[in-house]
Amino acid sequence: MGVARRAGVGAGIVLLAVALAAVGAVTAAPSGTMLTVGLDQEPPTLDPEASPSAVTFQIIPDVTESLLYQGLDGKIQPWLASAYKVSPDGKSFTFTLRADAKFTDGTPVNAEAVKWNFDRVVNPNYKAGGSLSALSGYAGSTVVDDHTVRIDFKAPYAPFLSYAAGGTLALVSPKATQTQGSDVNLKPVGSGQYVVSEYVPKDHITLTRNADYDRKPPWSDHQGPAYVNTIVWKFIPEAGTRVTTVESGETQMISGLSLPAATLSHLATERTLRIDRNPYPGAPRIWVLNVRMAPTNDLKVRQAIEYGINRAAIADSVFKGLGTTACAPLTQQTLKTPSLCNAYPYDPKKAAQLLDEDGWKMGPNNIRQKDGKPLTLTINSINYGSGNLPEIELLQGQLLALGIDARIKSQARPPWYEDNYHCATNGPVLFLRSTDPDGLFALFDSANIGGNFNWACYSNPEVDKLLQTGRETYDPAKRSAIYRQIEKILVDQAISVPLVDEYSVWIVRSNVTGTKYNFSGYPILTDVKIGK
Amino acid sequence: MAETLAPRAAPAAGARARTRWQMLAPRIRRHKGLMVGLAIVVLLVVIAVFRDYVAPQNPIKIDVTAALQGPEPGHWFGTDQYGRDVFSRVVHGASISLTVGAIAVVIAATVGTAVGLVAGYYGRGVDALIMRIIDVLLAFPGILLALGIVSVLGPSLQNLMIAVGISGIPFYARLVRGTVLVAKEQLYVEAARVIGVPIPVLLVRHLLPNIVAPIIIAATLGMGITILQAAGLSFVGLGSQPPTPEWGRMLTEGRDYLRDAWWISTFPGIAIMITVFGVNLLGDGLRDVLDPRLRI
Amino acid sequence: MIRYISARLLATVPVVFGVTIAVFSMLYLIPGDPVKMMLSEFQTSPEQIARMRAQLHLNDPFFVQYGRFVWNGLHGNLGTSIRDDRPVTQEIFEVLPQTVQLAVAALALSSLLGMALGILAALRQNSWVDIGAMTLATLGISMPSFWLGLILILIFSLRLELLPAAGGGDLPHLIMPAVALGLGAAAIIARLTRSSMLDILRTEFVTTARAKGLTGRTVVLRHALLNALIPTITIFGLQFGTLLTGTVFIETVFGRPGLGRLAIQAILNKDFPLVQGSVLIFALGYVVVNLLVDIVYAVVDPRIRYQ
Repeated sequence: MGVARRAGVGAGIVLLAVALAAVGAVTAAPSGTMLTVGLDQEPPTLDPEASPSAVTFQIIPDVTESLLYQGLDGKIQPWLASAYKVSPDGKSFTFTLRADAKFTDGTPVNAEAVKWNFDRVVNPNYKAGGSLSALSGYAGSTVVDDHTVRIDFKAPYAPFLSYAAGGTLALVSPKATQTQGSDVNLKPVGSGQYVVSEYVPKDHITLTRNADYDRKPPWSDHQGPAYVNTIVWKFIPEAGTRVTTVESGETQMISGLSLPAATLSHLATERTLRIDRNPYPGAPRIWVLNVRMAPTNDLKVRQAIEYGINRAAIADSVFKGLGTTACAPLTQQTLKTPSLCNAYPYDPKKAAQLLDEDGWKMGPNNIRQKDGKPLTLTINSINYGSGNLPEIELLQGQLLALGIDARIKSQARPPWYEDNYHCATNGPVLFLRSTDPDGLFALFDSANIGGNFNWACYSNPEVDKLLQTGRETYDPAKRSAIYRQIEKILVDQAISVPLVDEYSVWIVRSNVTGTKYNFSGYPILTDVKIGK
Repeated sequence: MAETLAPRAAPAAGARARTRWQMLAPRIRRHKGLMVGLAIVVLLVVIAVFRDYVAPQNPIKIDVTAALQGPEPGHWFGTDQYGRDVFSRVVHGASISLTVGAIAVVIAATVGTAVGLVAGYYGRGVDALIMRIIDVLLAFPGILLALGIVSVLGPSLQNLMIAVGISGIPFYARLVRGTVLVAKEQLYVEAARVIGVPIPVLLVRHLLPNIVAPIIIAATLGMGITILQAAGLSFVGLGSQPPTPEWGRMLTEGRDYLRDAWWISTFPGIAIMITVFGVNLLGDGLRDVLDPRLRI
Repeated sequence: MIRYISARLLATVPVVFGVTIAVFSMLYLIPGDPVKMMLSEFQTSPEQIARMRAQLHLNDPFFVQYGRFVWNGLHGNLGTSIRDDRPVTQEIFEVLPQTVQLAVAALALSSLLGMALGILAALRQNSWVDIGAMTLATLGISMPSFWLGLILILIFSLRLELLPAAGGGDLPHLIMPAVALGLGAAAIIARLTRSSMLDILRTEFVTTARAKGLTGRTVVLRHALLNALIPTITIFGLQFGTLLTGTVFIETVFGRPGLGRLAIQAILNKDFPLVQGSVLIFALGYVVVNLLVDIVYAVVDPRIRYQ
């Protein structure tokens, strides 16, 4: 009997020892020269010109630089280019480059490098990402002299200055990129204040300070290198886990994307934490309705959905603190359209009436049907690894209340894209962080059906024409009028259900100061200091 | 383990079965674990069948104004992030988990038994071939075979049952084969063969009754594992789809709310545990009563 | 001994062959075009798809492709991940140590705990200790490991803030996953240890030893314990396999970069080469562990060789 008792106690002691060791290790907090940031997902690539995903551009502003900079106020400022000039016809842009900028491999940032980068994007053998649409209509670059480069377009291209300030057209070193092969996806070489020193797939990315950096970037409070030695971007898909890490100090900053609303309001009360909140530009969290597939090919059904979806309930529940009710295919921050906010007030009775008129009568199990066929549709839902985005099940529930049986096709990124390209579902819920109203071009121009991102599969010559006119118009007032006109058409035809104008939300430990954000709402961490 | 089985008594005709039952009934009643297990399972089945009456609310009805309420009268298990009543979802989940478990076990047991009967009876080449295939399938441990099958079929509740069912086949096939090998050496089987009883009849009438007890025990115990596996696959996103109130899925949905609404994922977990516990007690008890030497 | 080992090794060959066939055929059974999946995030022309098919030799007959799969596999090449565009073997071996670490830790924990509980229960058969321990064990078997993981996170990370909730690497990150994974196995080992202990205690030589006047403690220590543990070794192989694949759930719960999580992500991503690779490594690892267990068992208990 004694043996047994001793064996039991022995096991207990082992466990206890393990637990004690653990406690010891946790209390050894990271030092002040390292910042660990928890991110919701791993980027598909870090190559800014190859990435179709917003994740890349949350990490990259500390590593690569662009010709221009657009801060939170929306003003375009010089960055790698000290000056720029737009030709009178609006088709050519001439940039004067700083003489002192170098990529971290020592290659100078000169006219040749800019030309090489832009030519790379349009090269048919290169798998370009969002950069390709940012350069649409690109006719070529000309090296005027070592520090002067001219970019030509086939037509006037008003949004280009904003795009040139964005992450998709950030510059990578021609020399390093040509020699490193597919490593550019993991460790692109830019000219910024950090270099990618380590990339551990599925786990983290480590950025190390570029000590030789001696310029003062447009947002910065100082000239020279960044303050913090090392930045670690850790991939933590589970929102709840991400929160735990920032509370315990394992991370000092986390992305608030898809954070449970209850958690966010709870975090707001914690004194050790701060919430940085800035509006995202571009399109809101939006459900685009595939106009080619039944039943969303039917205007009445689409309008019924518009009336029957309670957007305010979505914004006030699972998105509480993460956004406000959306009105139109562009966020109110990008283009104010108060009249469109009342286009489809929440009115389930009206929705029911529209469906009834259309022949969709209430059938068994509270699902409507017409000619014996039930009213079903499929929502394409992207799953980053921790389930559906929070709005999806709410949409499903609200549609069910209307008598619409909504199926959720929950899938990972690649098959999700595949279905979108083939118009194979009744539409995905997506967001598009565009810095210009021209983002509507990607979403609704007929040229982008089967590509990025006309996933409503919507084709309307009138809208196509207006989108082109918008691109060619430089006068701000005229531009706004054009885009309001486009939005009016899209809303009247109920092509999409705008849900939430989202905020870029980051939860930061209070001792971390100096976080900055660019116009896209992505963090810039070069001025960060970590206090006690 | 099947090889260690001892030979069993001669086949059971109707009258014999009754006497056997009369013999077993008091033993069953005396076995505390078995009775507790039986009570839990019966209760769960009753809840599953009468779910619409037991559950106070529609398990998939969304009401964001009632979201994230803690356990309280009216919402005994609280509400989830969409305002759905967790208690109602757990109640409806019982029918899903029991159905998934039962169907998967039926698939595994019937196919496995057929394969095992054939392999055990014919022996030689047939047996060798079948057993090589079974060996290969058994090289995929635990959940792996089901995982592979789901990845081929795609995630859905139906495919989940098929996958978990198929992955259970080798276990039953091996068990049945071992039992048949022992049983077929017995006189009455030999006698039946000599007087020319057709093989299918021989297999089903004479061999099968001999192996019913171990199959029932294995199936009961297997049901517990099956329910756990199905919940696990749903948990990682390879099973039921929203808004199905499946227990494994509910755990996933409550995961992000663990801190602020622990009840969303706690109660479905307890429900899984109680169900599997009941099934396991029942299985253990049946083994003790029917076939104490069986080691499963 | 050598004859037994070589026979056992030989018997493994057809199993390994069958496993590779099964894993390879998966690609054929999956609906959808793998090439289109590979190119899915980019706009593609039919020519690009055709070129890709040719590059991957997808137009060859089944057995030619299978032969290439095995040949490349033997050379450590299991293809390229669709999603990450990196060699499958590289992705697998980056995370494999984490999974092995977790499975071994869980096995160690479950063996210690399970045996202690099993011995205790056997020595006090039918006492409340026995009944309590076995009820606990049945509960342990019935508990979903992933749910236990969530509860551990709730208690030790969120409430007590003692242990990190997610990630891998060091010891603190290993404790909760190992406990969540190992507890179910501990319950199974406890039940098995108990029953084999009871068998031994009933056998003659223990009775004989008792009759010779040896004290209870010595009997247990010298005779019963060691003999009872031998059958327990056999289920290590089985348990290790279950623990290995149990990492699929546990790594997901704890956001631990390992083979299980890799496999799940690959399935959700429809990254077929990576699914094939990870399933293959899981199965082969299990085959090898069982082989080792059988050999160790034969060494420990010579009787097994003559069966």
